[in-house]
Amino acid sequence: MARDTVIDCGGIGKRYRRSWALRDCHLAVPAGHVVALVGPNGAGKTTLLSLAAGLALPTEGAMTVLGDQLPGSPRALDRIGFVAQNAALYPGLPVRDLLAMGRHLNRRWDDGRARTHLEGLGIPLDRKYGRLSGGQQAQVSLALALAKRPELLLLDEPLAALDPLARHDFMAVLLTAVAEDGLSVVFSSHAVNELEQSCDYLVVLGGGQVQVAGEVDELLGGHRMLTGPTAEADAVADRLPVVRDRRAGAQCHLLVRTGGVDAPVSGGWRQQRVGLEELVLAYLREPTASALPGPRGAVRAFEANEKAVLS
Amino acid sequence: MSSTTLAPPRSAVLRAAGLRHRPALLTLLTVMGAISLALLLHGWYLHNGLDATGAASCDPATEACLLKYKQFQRQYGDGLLALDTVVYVLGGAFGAFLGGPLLAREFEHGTVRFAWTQGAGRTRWTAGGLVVGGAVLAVVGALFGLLLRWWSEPLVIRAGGFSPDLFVQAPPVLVGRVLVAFGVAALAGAVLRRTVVAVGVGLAASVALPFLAHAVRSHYMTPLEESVHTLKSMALDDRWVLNVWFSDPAGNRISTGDFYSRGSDYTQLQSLVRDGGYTAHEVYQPANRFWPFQLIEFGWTTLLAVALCAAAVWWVRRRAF
Repeated sequence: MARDTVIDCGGIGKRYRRSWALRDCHLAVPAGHVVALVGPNGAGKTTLLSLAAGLALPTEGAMTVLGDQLPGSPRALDRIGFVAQNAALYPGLPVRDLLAMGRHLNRRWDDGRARTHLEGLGIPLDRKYGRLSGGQQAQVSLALALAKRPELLLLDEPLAALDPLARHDFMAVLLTAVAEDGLSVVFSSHAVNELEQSCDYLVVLGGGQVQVAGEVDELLGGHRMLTGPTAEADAVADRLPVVRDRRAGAQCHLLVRTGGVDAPVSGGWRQQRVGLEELVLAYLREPTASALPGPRGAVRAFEANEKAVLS
Repeated sequence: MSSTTLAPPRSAVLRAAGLRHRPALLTLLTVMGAISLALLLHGWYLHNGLDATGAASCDPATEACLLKYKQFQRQYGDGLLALDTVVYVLGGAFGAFLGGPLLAREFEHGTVRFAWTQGAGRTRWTAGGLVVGGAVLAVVGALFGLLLRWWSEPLVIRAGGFSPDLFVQAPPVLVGRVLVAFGVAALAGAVLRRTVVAVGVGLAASVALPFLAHAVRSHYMTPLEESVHTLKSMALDDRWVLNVWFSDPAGNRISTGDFYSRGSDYTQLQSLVRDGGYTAHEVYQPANRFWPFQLIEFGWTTLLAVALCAAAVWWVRRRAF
């Protein structure tokens, strides 16, 4: 397996009793990115992160993290930071004790960084964790994870319970750490509208499988929204991979994958680039559509052959 | 990156476990302290009563001493037997209250996701918590056992140290019992992931254990046998009489029912064994086996507790995915 991946899974599946949370899931996330993991509730986001953190074992298939490490192995635990959903920590312990626990439980520990982080935000170290606000609790969890100086940081819905200001503060700390340490981050999120400022790699999960995986710039450049006459829609849809097809009377809107160039369509069509939010929502609404590193080649081949016919 | 040591040293994991469980341990110490204070006051009152009535300083074989003891019971013994029963049944309960939440609450609060993703790993973390909890319980249990032993002295004078309710209050047996309740509750917490259920299972084990132990206790060592020629119980020492059987003048063993049918009342039966050649054979454990028995029972219950804790660690390591 390539050493420059932070998460690499080939066809893994995870079953809880009778239902599959993940099934035949292929994903290779390269290192050095801030990866957003999005998908509807029950799409398998938490399961995927739990598997990567070593909290769960896949029912089928195998997964590696940070190149060739098995999730949950001592070497992987040492180098991966994990912030759980709702940032659950021991409510009865003061922040200082939580930091001490982290120091005792890890070989790599940067106590100064955690203290600077928390003092900078005015979080009192002698206050019990359970008496902090939601935003402060999230910051404490983040400080504990970052103090490990991880090479990979996994965050499960870190923003879900936070108000806008707390979200902003949280992402600011996170992105500063990324800039300083060059660590890779994978976080799951519902906040589709805030993704564009925070991530540069996107993974969309739907129904336990990976629907979209790719760098944000490439994904945005590789899609076009086509607006044109409904009468010609079927002809276009036959030749271009359509992600989403909306028809309203005489006019229709087609979100198509073009592979980085403008779509080869006639003058009756207007084409626009799309935003990340629009793109993600389109894929979430069409669970059968997918944009993976593989099929992109097929699109390019198609362009070369068909361009003359279309124009 | 050099990685000869891939996890923090064991002592550090123990320190972390100590921090994590400190609130629970402080609660335990507070509750046990309050109960101990109450027992201390009540025990002081009882011992005063023994001195005042002179029931402790007389020869317990004499009739006069029995009367003194009865007077002590009338004056000071209100609720003493009820309290003793409560201590008998619930003596090991605090092990269940510490062991139940130890792992179950981690699942309930979702803190496993923090604890198990640290560099130390889930196995060391779980083992560390069990070691810290078990060690504190052993010390608290031993101290509480000493207090209980002193408190129950007025009862020991009459019933003997081997009586089922008093035997389990001495420190070694109490520690073993507390640790078994702790281990059962911790294992139940790991498997069932519910604090209330885990504490309940631990309590049930703590209540059941003394009855189970009593059933096997007489087999720890081969009992001794003594031929006596009287039916009066001889309060010579605190021996634990298991049973008595009889033989006729020819030396043949006869059933107890058969023996009792050969005399119409107590006086006749007494004369049969005193002068008529019949023999009563007392099967007993001598009083000086009290501490060996305590240690034997401490040994197997503690081994059981260690096995239960090991099973909890195994479950967390292999099954809790």
